[in-house]
Amino acid sequence: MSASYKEPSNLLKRLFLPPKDPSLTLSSDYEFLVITQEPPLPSIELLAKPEEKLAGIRFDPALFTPSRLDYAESLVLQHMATGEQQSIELPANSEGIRYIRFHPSKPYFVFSSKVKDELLLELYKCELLDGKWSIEQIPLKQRMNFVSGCAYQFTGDGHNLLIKCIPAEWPEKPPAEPVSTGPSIQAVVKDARKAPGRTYQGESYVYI
Amino acid sequence: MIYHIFLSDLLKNEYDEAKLKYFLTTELLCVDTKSLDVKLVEQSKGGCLIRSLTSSPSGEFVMAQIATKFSYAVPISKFGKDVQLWKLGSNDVVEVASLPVDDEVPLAYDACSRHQRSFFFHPCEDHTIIFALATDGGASLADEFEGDERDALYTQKLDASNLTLGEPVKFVGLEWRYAGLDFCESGLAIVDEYRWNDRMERKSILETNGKKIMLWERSWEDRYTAPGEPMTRRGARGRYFIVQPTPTSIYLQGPGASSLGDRPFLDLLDFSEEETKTTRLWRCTAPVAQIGDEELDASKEVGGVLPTKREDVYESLVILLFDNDSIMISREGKTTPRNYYLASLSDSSKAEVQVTHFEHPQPDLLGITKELVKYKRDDGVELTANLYLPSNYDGSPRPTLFWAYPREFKDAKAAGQVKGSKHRFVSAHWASPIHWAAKGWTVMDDFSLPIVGEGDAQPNDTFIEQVVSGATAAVKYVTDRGVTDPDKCCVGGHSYGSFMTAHLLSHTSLFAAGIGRSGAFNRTLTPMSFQSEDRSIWEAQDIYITMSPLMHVKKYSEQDRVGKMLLIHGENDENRKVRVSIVLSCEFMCSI
Repeated sequence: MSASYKEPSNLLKRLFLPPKDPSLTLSSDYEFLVITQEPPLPSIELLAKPEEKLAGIRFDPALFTPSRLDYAESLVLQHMATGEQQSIELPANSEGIRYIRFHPSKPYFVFSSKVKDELLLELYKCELLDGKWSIEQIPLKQRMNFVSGCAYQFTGDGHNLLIKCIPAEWPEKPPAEPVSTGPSIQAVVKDARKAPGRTYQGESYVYI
Repeated sequence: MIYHIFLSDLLKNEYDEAKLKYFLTTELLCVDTKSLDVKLVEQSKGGCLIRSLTSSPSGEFVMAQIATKFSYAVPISKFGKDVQLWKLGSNDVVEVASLPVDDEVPLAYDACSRHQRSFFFHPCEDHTIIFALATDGGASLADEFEGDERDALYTQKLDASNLTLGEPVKFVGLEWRYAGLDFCESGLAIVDEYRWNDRMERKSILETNGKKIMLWERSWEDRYTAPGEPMTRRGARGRYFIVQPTPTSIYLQGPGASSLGDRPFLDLLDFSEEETKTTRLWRCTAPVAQIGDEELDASKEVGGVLPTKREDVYESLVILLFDNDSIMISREGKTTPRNYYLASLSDSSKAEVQVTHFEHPQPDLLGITKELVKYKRDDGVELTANLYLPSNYDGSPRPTLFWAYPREFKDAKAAGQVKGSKHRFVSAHWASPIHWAAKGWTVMDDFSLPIVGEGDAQPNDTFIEQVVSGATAAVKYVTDRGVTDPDKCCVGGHSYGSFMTAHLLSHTSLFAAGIGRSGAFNRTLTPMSFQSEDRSIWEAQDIYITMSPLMHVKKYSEQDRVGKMLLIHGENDENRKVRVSIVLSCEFMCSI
C-alpha cells in the first residue's frame, strides 16, 4: 500500500482547486469595499479536526468556533468611487482572518485573527485615520466564544462593542464523562399540547 | 403523547448537558470603541447560555435570549429560554418572557409555537420590543378556526426611567401566519404573511396611523409574476430599513424570472393612490434575441420602452447608494467571471465604473458551452435544464451525466417556469457535475424534476411516476438532439437527488450508472415529515412506504439494464448513521 494519497491529474487539480471568488464586505456608508481571499478548499488537516456535536450544533471544541472554519489570507480596502486600494498587512502571528463587522456609522471595523499554531483568535480593529487604514489589537484577557455565531457586535449607538467570551476562571477542560448510573428520562411538561415532533438533524429540519 | 425521533446530534444525557453548558456558557464584555477599555457586563457575570443578543437602537440595552430549559428531543434553537433586557453599565435586568421548550408544534409548515415568539427591537424607537403570538394557538392554517385572525404582532414599550415594561399593545392582527416585518425610517412598515397549504403569501403596508393596505396576495411558486421584495439599506443606528424615497413610495427588487431566464430588476412602487403604480428603474440587460424566443414585453422594461441594446449577460443589483441614483451591479457572462460596476439609474449614458477586476478562475472550462434548454414531459408540463457541451464539440453523441434535485409544486404552470439564467458564468465548484464536460461528456445539469400535486392532490401522491416521467423526457430530449449516447447515460444527485437516483435506477432502464451522494433511502426513518411533505407516516403511510427506494430494491435488478450505483457518504454523514444507506448499499451490491 502506498503511504500517501494518490494525486489526481493536473487537469483535475486545476479544475478542483481554483481560487475561490473573493468575499466582499461593504462599509456602512458604502464608501469602502473590503476584499478578502479565502483558500480554495479546506485542508485535510482542517477536515480531520475533532468536532463536537451537541443539541444540533457542531463546533470545534478546542477553538470555540463552528467546525472547519477557514480564514481569509488577504485583506484589501478599496475606495468605491476612486478604486484606490490599500492592502492591509495581517498581524505577524496571523494564520488568517474572519468575522469582519463594520461600525454602524464610522469607517471602522473589527475582525478576528487566528493565531498561527495556537488555539486562539485575537480581536483587531481597523480604522481609517488621516486617509489610511490601520489596524490595532483590542486586548482581551478572556477568549472569545463563537460557538453560537460571531462573538461580537456593535451597540446601536456604536459606542461599544459587545463580546461573548468564555467566563473568567472557567475550567480549562470540559467535564469528564461519568459512569452511567441510570437511564436518561425526560417527561412531558404538564399541560403540553399533543403534537408530533419533527425529525431533526443538526440545527435544521431534515432535508434528505 | 409526543412522538419524537432521536438522532445523534441531539442531547442524549446529563453528560451532554454538562458539555453543552461548558462550551456555550459565556460572559459578555463591553469594549469602549474609542478608548478600547474593557468592562464585564454585570448581568452576565459567572456566565449564561446566551443564544441571541441584540443591542437596542439606543445602545443602552441589550436583549439577551438565554437557553434555560434543555431537551433531548429538539435542537438548541427550540430549547426553553428566558428573554431579558439588560441595561448596560448597570446590573439591571428586565424580564420579558420565560418560555418552555418549543417541542409541541404541529407538523404543518404554517403551524407555530403557542407562546410568544420572534422577539426583536423596534428599529425606529429607542427600546421598544416587538413579538409575535399566535391567536389560534399556533395550529395549522388548514385546521378550522373560528375567527379571522390567526396571528398577531405586539409592541411592548420599556420605560427606561423605572425599568418597567408596559402592557403589550397589538400592533397588527394577521389572517395568515406571520413571516416577517420590516420598517422604513419613517415608521411605516411592511408585514409578510404566508399559508402553506396552497403556497400563498401576502404583503401589506402598515401605515403609522395603523391603516393596513394589502399590496398583494399571490402564490410564491409563480416566479414570473413575483413583484419583488422591498429594498432595505443600513440606516440610522446600524439598523436595516426599507428605502422610502418619498412618503408614498418604496423600491422593490427581484430576480425577474421570465421565459428568457432570470433578469433581475429594481422598481419604484408608488402607493399614493388606491391602485398602486410600479415604475421599472433598472433591469438586467435583455439577451440577444434567438429564434423561438418570446418577444420582450415593453411594460416590463425600463421606462416601459423596449431596450435597443441587447447582450448575453447576467446582471444583478447589489446595492442602491444613499443618493438613490447610483447603483452597484454585478455582471457576468458564460465565459466572463462576475465583476462589480457602479452605474447611474437616471443617466444611462454616464460611463460605468468597474469596481473589481476578477479573472477567470478555471480557464480549463473555457470553450465549454452552456445552453438553457426547454422540453416537455409527456403530460405537457414544461421542463428546463442547463445543457453543457464540451469544448471543440464535434456533434457526436457523448456519454452524458444528468444531475438533478426534485422539487414539489402545487401548480403545474409554476413547475414549468424557467429558472436561472443561461448567461451566468460557467464555473464549477468541487461538487459540480460540470467538470465532466471538461472530460468530453455532455452534462444535463439541474434538469427539472417537478413533483406536482394540484388542488386536493399532494405532490408526493405520484412521486415515482413524476420522477420517472421527468427523467424520461430529459433523456429523450438530448438523445433526439444527437448529443447523447443513450447507452452511456449516468444520473446523479446530492441528498434528495441521491434519493431520486435510487428510484430512477429501480424504476427505469434509462441509466447505465447512478451516483448517489449523501442520500437517505428509507422514509420510515423520517416519519415526522420530510422535504415539503408535512404529513406524518401515520397520516400517509402508503406514501412513506412507496417513496422509500429501499422498498424497491428488487425491481433494481429486474430492469432490462441494471445500472451500477455509486453511493457516496462522508464519515460524518447522518444519513449513514441512521444505517439506511448502508442497508441500501448492501442491497444494491447484492443486486449487481
